[in-house]
Amino acid sequence: MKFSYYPGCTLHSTAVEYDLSARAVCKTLGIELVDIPGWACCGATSAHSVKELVAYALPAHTITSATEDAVVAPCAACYNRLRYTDVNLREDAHLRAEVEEALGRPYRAGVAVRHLLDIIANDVPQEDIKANLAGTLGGVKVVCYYGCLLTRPKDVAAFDDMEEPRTMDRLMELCGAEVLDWPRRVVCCGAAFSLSRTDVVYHMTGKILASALKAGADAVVVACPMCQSNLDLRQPAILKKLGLEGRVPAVYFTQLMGLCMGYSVGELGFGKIMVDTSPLIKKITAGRAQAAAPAEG
Amino acid sequence: MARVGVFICWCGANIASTVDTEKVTEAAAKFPHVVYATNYKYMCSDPGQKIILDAAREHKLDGIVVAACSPRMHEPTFRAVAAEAGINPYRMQMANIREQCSWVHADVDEATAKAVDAVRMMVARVAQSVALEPIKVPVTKRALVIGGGIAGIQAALDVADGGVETILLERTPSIGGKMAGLDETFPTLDCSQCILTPKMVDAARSELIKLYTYCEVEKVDGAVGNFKVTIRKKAKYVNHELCNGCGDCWLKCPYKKIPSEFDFGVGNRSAIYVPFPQAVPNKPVIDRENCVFFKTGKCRACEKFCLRGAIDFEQEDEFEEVEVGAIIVATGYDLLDHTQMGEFRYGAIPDVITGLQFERMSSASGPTEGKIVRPSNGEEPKVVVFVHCVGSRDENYKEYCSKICCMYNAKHAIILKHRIHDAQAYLFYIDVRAGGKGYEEFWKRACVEEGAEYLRGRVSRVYDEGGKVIVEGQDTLSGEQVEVAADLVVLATAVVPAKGAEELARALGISTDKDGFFNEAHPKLRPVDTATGGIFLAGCCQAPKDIPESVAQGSAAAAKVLGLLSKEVITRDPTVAVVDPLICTGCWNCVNVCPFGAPEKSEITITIDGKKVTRPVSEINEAKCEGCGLCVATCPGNCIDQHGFSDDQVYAEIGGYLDRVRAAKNSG
Amino acid sequence: MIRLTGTRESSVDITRMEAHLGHPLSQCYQCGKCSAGCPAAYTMDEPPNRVIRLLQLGLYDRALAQNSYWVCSSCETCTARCPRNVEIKEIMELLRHDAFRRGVTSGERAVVVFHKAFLKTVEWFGRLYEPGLIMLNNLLSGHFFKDFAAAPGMVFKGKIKLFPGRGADNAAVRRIFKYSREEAPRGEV
Repeated sequence: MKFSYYPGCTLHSTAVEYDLSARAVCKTLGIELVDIPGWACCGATSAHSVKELVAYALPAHTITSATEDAVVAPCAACYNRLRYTDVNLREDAHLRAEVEEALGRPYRAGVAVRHLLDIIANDVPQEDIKANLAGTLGGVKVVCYYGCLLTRPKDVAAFDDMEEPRTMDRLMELCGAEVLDWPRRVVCCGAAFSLSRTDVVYHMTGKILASALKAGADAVVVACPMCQSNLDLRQPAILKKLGLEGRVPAVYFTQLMGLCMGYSVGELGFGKIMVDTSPLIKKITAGRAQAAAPAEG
Repeated sequence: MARVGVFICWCGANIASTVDTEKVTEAAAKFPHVVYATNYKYMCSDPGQKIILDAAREHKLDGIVVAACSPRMHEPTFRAVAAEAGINPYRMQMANIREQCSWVHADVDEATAKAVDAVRMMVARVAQSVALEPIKVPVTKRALVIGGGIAGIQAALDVADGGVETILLERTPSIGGKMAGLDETFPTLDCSQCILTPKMVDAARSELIKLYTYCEVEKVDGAVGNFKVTIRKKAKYVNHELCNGCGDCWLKCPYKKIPSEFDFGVGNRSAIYVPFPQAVPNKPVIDRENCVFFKTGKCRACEKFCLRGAIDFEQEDEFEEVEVGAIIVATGYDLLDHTQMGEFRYGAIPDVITGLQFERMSSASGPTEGKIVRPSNGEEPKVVVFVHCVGSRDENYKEYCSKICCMYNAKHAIILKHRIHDAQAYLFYIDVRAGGKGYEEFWKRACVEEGAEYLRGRVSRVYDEGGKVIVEGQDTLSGEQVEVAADLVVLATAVVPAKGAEELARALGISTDKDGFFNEAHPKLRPVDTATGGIFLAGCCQAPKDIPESVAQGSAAAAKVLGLLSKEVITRDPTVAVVDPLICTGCWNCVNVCPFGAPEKSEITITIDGKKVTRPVSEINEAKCEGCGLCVATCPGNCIDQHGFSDDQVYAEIGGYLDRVRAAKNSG
Repeated sequence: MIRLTGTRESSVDITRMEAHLGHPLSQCYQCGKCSAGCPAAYTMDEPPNRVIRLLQLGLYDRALAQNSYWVCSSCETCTARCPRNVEIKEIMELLRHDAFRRGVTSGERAVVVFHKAFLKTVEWFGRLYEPGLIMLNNLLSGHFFKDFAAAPGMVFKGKIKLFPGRGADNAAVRRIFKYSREEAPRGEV
C-alpha cells in the first residue's frame, strides 16, 4: 500500500507526536508514505472561513503536486478540506477553471483522498493489525473522540456513521483497551477559536472533557490535531474553571497503536503531550502485567 | 354509408367566445357521412338533449357526434341520449372542443379551424364505430374485509347490517388492531377498549360475519363481482372448536419471556398465548418460532393441562378459497422504526420509547398495569419529554405529516399528569395540528389545565448520561436553546403503512403511493375507492388518520360495497381488448405487461392441411380487462384490438385529419 | 416594523446568496433543529434559524450585523441534521465571506483579526508558522501577551518551531494569493 503523505502544518509543529506515531504505525503495517513535494497549507481554519478561492486553490495545489494516486492525511481538517476541494472541483466547472487560473496549471482530478484512520481501519486486514500487536493496552479505559471534520458532511468526508461512529473504537478494542460508551463522540471542540475566542473553546471543549471524566476515562483518543490541541493545551485551565478534578490526556490513536506494536514512549512522542501522560502509561503497563500474572497458580 | 348527426355545443360562452360554432356547423354539414348538423347553447341540458332525440328520429341517424366538453364530463349523458334514440351508445362519440380547444387557444380563427378538424376526425371515427353491448358479469354476494382493526370491524358490521355475508380477515390472533392497545382516546379520554370491545363482540356474534383470525391473503384472482381469494389459515396448533378459552395453557406455559407484539416489546407473553385479555376470539394460538416443543421436542405442558384436549401439534397451515364480490382493504399502520435514527442513538437508550409503547404502559390492562415507569429501572418518571415529528415532515425519512401525533402527544401529557401528579411534561413541537372536532379545546386543556409545557422547536439530539436522558432542543419563540434532563423520552414517530402492504397491493392489483400507502381513486372525491373495480380502502392503510375518520371510512367503504353487491349483475364497459387467436403467436408480452392480469395463457386447436394443430394463444378475460390499451400497443404482431378504440376507428380518425391537410396542400 | 411591498429588501444580496445555494431560502420552515444542536449558539446574537429568518424576510444587512457567522465553527451539525436539507453551514459561510469583503466585524474583531493574521503567515511562508501567527495576531488584536505563558513549554517540547519551516512551494502560494486579490474572481476583492 502506497500513499502520498500529507502531514499538514501542525504535524510539523504542535502535533509532531501525531506525525511520529503515524509514520511508525504505517511502517509496521507496510503502508508506504511518500511525501508530497512542495505541499502547502490546506486552507483549513481561516482560508475556508473568509476567502473562497484561496480555500480551494491551496488544497488543489497540494493534490496536484502529489505523485501517487491516493493521498492520505492524518489531520482531520486537512482531510476535510482536500475532500471538499476534490468534490467541488469535479462538480463545478466554473470554480475549477478559476482555480486552475490561480494555480497556473491544470488540476489533477482522480486522486483519492483518504484519512489515516480510514485506511488503517478499513484497508489493512484486521489479522495484519493483530499480527503486529506485540502488547496490549492493558484494559485501560478510553473514550474515542471523532470531532466534526471526520464525520460530516456525509457525501464529502464521512467514512463512518455521522452520529455514532465506531471506527476508532474498534481499533482501540483490538488493541486491548476498554472502550467506554459516551455521548460526545461527534460534538465540536471549538476548533480554530483557540486564539481568537478562547472562551468558546473553553465552553465546547469543557463539555467534552467533563463528559470524558464522568465516563471514567483514562484517556481521550483522537485523530485530529486541532481537537487534540484544544483538549490538551487548554485542559488545566478549562477543568479549573469547571471546578473538576483529574486529568484525562488526549492522545492520538496512532500513539496507542504504536505502543502495542512495541515502539517506545519516546519514539511515539508521548512526552510532547502537555498533560502528563505518565499515569496513563503506568496504567497500561500495570494492566498488561495483571493480564499476564494469573498464569501462575 | 353512415347517417351521422353532428351537434355542436356553445357551452354558453365557454366554447362560443373562441370558436365560431356557426362556421363549424356549416363545415360539418359537408363532411362525408353527415346528414344533419346543428348547434345549440347547452347540448347537455334537457332542451339540448331533445334536439338530438328529435334529429335522430327525423333524419334516421345511426351515428352521433357531439362537439362539446371533455368526454370525462358528459360521455355518459350523451351515451344515454343515443340509447334513448335507439342508437347504440358506442356509435356516439364526443369531440372535445372545449378543454382541448376553446379553453387553451385565444385566436378565434385558429380555434375554429381546430374545432372543424376535431369534428371531422370524430365523424370519420363514428362511421367506423361498431355497436357494442355492455359486458354483464354476475355478482357474488359476499364481501371480504382484510384487516380487523377499527376500520375493518366497522366496515364488516355495516356490510353485515346490509344483509351481505362478510369475511373479516385478520393476520394476528385477535381482531381489534392498534386501537385495542390504546389507553384513553382523544379528545374524550374514552377508554379505548371500553368503546371498542362491544364492536368486537358484535362482529364475533354477527351471523353474517365470519371471523378468520390468524389468517392471511395468499392469492387473489378474478375481478369486480367475482374475486377468488385463497386464504392461508395459519396453523394455530389449538383446536378452537374444542378450546373454551379457560387459560390454563398459557398459565402453565414455561416460556413466558417472549416480547409481546401487542405490547410493542414493553411486556412479554408466553409461547401459547392470546395477545390481550379481551381478545376476540379469546382462544390461544401457539407461536411456533418460540415454542419449546417445536424447538426441542420437549415440554408439551399445555397439552398436559388442557382439560378439553384442544392442543394439536400436528396442525398445518390450511388453504381455503373463497369467492367474494368485493374487497375492503383495512390493513392499518405501523410506526416508523426509530432505531434507524442516529439522533436518538439508534434505539440504544432504554428510556427512549415510542408513543404506542407509552400507551401500553398507561393502559390499565397492560404489562405494567397502568403504571408509567422508566424501562431502565422501573421507577416513576418525573420529567417526561414528548418529541413531535420524529421522522415526519422530515425529508430524510417521511416528508408528510402523520396527522395524529399532535393530538396523542397532548393526550399523553394529560394522562401523565393524571397518573403521576408531580410529573412534568415537556413537548417539543413545530406546529400543533388540532383540526378535528373538539381537538383545539383538548389541546388548550393540556396546556392550560394540565400543566403541559410546550416548547416550539425541534430536538437535535438525545443522549444518556448520568442516569438521565439529556434532550437538546430549541425554543424558537424565545430564541433559546433548551436542555432537559429527562427520566423518560417519548417519540412521536411517523405513521407508516403496516408491514406487508406492498406485497398485498401486488396481490390485489392495486397501487401504492410514494410512501407505500394504498392509492385512492381520487384524493378529493373518491377517498375509499381504488382504481381497481371492486376493491375499496378504509382507515390508515390509505393515509394517516384518527379513529373517527377510520370509522367513517369503514362505513363509507361498506356503503360502496353494499351498492355494488345490490346489483344482480354488474355491467362493465365493453371497451375491452380482444385477441385474434389466428395470428397470435403466444409470445406472452401482453400477459407480462397487463397490470390487471386480464390476458390469460390459453390454447387453440385448428386444422391445417387436415391435421389438428394446438397452439398457445393469449385470451383476454373480459371480466378483468380495464381497457387501458397497454396490451394493444405492446403486441408485436398487432394481434390485439380494442373495442371502442379499434384500429379501424383510430386510423379513420387520423385519416380524417390527414385528408384535410392533403386537400389543403393540393389546392394551394 | 416590516412593511411588505411585494419585493424583498436588499434583493441583490439575497438573490446572489440563493444562486449559490442548492435551494431557495424558503425551504427552511423554521423548525429550529439547527439551533438546538448548534454548539456555538449560546454565544450568538441570533441562533442559526433566526439568521435564516432575517434572510427570508429580506433583511440582509441585519443578518450581516449579527455575530453569528463569525462564531460559527463550521462544525456542520446543523446541515447534517436539517429535516429540509437546508444548507445552513453554507449560508453562514456566504455571510462570512461577504462580511470579510466588506470589513464587517459585528463585534467579533478578534476573530477577524485572527483570520487576517493566519492568512498573512500562510501567504508569506506557504504553511502555518505559529510564532508568526501568534505575534501577528496579538499585535493586531492589541492583546500583546496572550498565551505567552504557554509558549516556553511548547518550545521546549518541540511543538513550536522558532523558525518557519521550509519545503512549501512558496511561489505557488504567493501566486494564489495574488490572483485572489487582483483578478477578483467570483466577486472576491
